[in-house]
Amino acid sequence: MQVDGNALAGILEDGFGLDLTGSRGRCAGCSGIAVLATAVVVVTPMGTVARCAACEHVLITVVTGGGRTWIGLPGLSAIEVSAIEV
Amino acid sequence: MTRRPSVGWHVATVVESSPETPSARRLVLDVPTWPGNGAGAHLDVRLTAPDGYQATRSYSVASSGPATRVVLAVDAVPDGEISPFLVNEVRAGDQIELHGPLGRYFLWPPGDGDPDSDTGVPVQLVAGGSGVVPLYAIAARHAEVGGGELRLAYSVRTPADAFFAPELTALVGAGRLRLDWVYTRATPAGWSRDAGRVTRALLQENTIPATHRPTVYCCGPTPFVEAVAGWLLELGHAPERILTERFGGS
Repeated sequence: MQVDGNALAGILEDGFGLDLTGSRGRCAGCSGIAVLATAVVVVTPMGTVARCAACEHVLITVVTGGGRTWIGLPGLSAIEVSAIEV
Repeated sequence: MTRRPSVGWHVATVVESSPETPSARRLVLDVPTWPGNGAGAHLDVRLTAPDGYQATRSYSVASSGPATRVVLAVDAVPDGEISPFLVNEVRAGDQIELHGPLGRYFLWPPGDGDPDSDTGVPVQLVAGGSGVVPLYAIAARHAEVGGGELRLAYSVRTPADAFFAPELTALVGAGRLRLDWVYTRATPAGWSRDAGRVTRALLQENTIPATHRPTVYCCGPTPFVEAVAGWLLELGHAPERILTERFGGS
């Protein structure tokens, strides 16, 4: 099933405690910068893969099993988060 | 391994399940721990089989605001893992697991409902099929708090396939929404245009012009959103003002 980066919101919130759908990320493949919600996401019973909408480089992989979730970030060379106020 | 508690998971009780279209149902959920949600948000539904197998899918929320009543409208995807269960099996009194609210990217007003955000910017909504669910939430919220021009272009197969038809018609009647229907398979009797898919010309004719610099929210099946977003760019809309949410029909 092909969806988009909006569908990653729950997984990433669970893993990192942040809603990253509106965050910009840099693709390690093409160096393009895009909002995470615009990534091409494929959901299968084996896991979830997010690809760069511009160059199809794999940005994020998610595999769940045995009560654990593995989040791979093989293709994100940077991601934007709100500045942390100290 | 220690970790912070998953504060975003909730147990919801189905209060009401009613037919929305021939293939979809509207579910009203009571979620006592729900923190409220912005218009356009979604949530994840997680189902666990007796053998422990879990499947999770995202659904847009049709309601917004502080209420702990959460409204979904779910279309049964043939061969889907979760939607046929939600549409055909779930009934009042059943409990389901939810994670949310999620998806700050697609919210109106932008920025987590920040009261300082400019609600005077024109808003163009473009929906394909059940993709209208988050856009209905935005339209209802917009009608409540007020704002700039608001217009919805809604593509459905037939009049019977329209989600939230009475609610949308009421918003139009109250002068809060301009609604342009596109029927792809069958039209109401006496409709001025033959049934057919959205085209670039039809989109241009039925949406706020790019010169008015609207924020555009487009939600629908992946091919629909891809086509519409491409045409919007060709029509001169700035990429950063086109917000998209795609879902898989198959």
